Amino acid sequence: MEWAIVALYAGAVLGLGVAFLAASRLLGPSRPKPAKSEPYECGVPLQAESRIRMSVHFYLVAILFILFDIETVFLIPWAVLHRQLGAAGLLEMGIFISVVGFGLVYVWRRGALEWE
Amino acid sequence: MTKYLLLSAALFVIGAYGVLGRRNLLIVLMSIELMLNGVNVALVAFSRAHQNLEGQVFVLTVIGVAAAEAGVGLALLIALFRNRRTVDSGDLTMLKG
Amino acid sequence: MPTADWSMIGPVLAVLAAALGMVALDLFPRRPWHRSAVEWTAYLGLIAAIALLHGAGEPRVGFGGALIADPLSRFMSLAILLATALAVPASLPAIAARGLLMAEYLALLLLSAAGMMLLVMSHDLITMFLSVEVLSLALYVLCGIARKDARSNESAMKYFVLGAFATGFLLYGMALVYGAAGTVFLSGMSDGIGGTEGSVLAVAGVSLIVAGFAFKLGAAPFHMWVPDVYEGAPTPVTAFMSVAVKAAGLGALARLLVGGMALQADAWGPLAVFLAALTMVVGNLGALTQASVKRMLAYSSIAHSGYALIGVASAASPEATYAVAGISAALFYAAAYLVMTLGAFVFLMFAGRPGQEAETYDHLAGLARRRPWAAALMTVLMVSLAGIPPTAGFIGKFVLFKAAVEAGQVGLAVIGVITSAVGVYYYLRVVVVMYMHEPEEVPGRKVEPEAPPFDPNLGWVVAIGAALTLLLGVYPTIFLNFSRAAASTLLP
Repeated sequence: MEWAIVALYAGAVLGLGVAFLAASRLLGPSRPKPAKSEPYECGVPLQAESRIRMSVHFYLVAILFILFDIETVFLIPWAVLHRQLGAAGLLEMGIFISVVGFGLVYVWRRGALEWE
Repeated sequence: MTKYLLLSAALFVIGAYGVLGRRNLLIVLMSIELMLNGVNVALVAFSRAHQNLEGQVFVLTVIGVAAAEAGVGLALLIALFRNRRTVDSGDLTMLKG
Repeated sequence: MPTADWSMIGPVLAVLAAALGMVALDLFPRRPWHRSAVEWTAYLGLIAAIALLHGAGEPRVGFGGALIADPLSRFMSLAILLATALAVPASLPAIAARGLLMAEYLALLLLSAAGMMLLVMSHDLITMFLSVEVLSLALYVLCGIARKDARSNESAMKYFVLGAFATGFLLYGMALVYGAAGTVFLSGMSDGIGGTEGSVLAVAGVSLIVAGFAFKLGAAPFHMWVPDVYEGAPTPVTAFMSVAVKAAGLGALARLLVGGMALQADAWGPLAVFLAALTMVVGNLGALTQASVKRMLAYSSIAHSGYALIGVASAASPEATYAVAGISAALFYAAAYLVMTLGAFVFLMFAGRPGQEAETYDHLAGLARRRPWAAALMTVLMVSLAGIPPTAGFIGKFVLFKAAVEAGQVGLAVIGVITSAVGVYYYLRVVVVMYMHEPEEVPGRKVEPEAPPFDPNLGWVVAIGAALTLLLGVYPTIFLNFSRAAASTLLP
């Protein structure tokens, strides 16, 4: 029964939020002007976009970093328990690491690690 | 317990709102990650409530999967950007019936 | 220390090894035999997997309760391996025409198949989630594998964003079910929840899981992605994903709902009824108005998900025999759907020319005169999709509607019959166009009088699809026994 209360509460929170957003969208006046969207009282007009365009290389490095970084999530539980897991655990972790290592060799040979 | 579940639900809903409401696909990707991590909070809370470790094992799996998902998502985004010069979901209008 | 029972996952390991082997071949300097080596590694892995599947023996649970090998997993694995084995030769012309990396493409295909096989074997929520993701991630990349093609990019991005969104809901549902049951293992889950009385957590969890799977199956109201993604993805990928994902998803859904949550049938039963009814209507009405045959087949695949869900809805019946009949009918239907839809999508490539597939109805006009055999094979597939005897589609629908009426879901059976009648129109339109229309001058497309060059492998795939469609239609008994055996081991 306590879950019903939780659900009720969650529903009320959601409903209230949606109601406020909807009310402001429906009732509020909307007269966009270019002056309104400029930064408030900042003297000079904008020189450039505040967002800099990053080279796409960074994203490639980011992808590879995420993929090879997250393997530690599986290494740590094994490292904590490696005594109890024994040879079988070592073997299974060896298979895991060699598959990950294979992936590294593949991206290397395909040239994904080159900057240019 | 209830507090953790509310936190989890809040994170999940914020993530879902981000997926539905934002047009920049990079932010959509981050919102998806937020949804998965919201679930992680719930899993850890349940794991503690039930006094078993299954929920925590689940969380480790989810973290691994989320990383793979982020990798694939970013890669698809780069491919899209190289061809179309946009990361705005509103510009994806080539396929229509 | 949980024991690892490697022989249980032999077929999965064979497919995985083949995938890694193909990628490894790519690392060596190119030799003239490189392409055929990659191709044969794929076939070898698939043949080994089918052989290992055959020698699997008694039903058993392994890996600390995480995986199960039983008739259901074997039936579905066989269907998945068949779809993969047909998708490999169907893909080769597209790989060559679009200049794709062959090893990468085929490895992703096999990785996705491995994920599907794990999905139908999974016996706990963690494995189920993991394998859903393995198959989905590989498919996202496959949809976008034509990196230079903006339509392929868009298809992949849409599939990814919506798929990952649905995964979030699936995962949240699993977390809530774990919270309600106190266990992630399917054995003991139903008792752990202990009925749905007052358990908001369990009901919400089951609903979210059903919604997540409905997305993967392309069932309405979670079907919006299907036409766009199927149209934009390379056609062999569409052919593979439209059939294999549904087979795997249906198997897992049946195992989870009937095997793991039998006591909660009052929660998921009405949901399944609603999804099945809406999906049949939306799919068939959507297919009516399409100008592109590829999009028509995409809507048709939505409609067929609805028919298969009739079986799941009937399985909510408390009577064990009706539940078995429902699941058995759904599994048989998945197999029938697999052979006919795979054949139909591959036909679109076969009827066109390298690099230029047949897309609209106009492209097929007068095909019977130019390529009588191709038109005849497509006619068999269309007749089956429409549900006319003596084909697999007819038997599949017949057992489904029978199971539904017995289980008391007369309304679903009636909707099924009416929407099937609607379906006859657009399936037979393809046949009419092929046999009775004159080829017209389509702007931007030259119609040449002589038969255009085509890959004979594609013809073989279509022919196998059509032959299996007829086989399942004329001798359904063996397959029905197989699917009934698969369904009956599900019940506790």
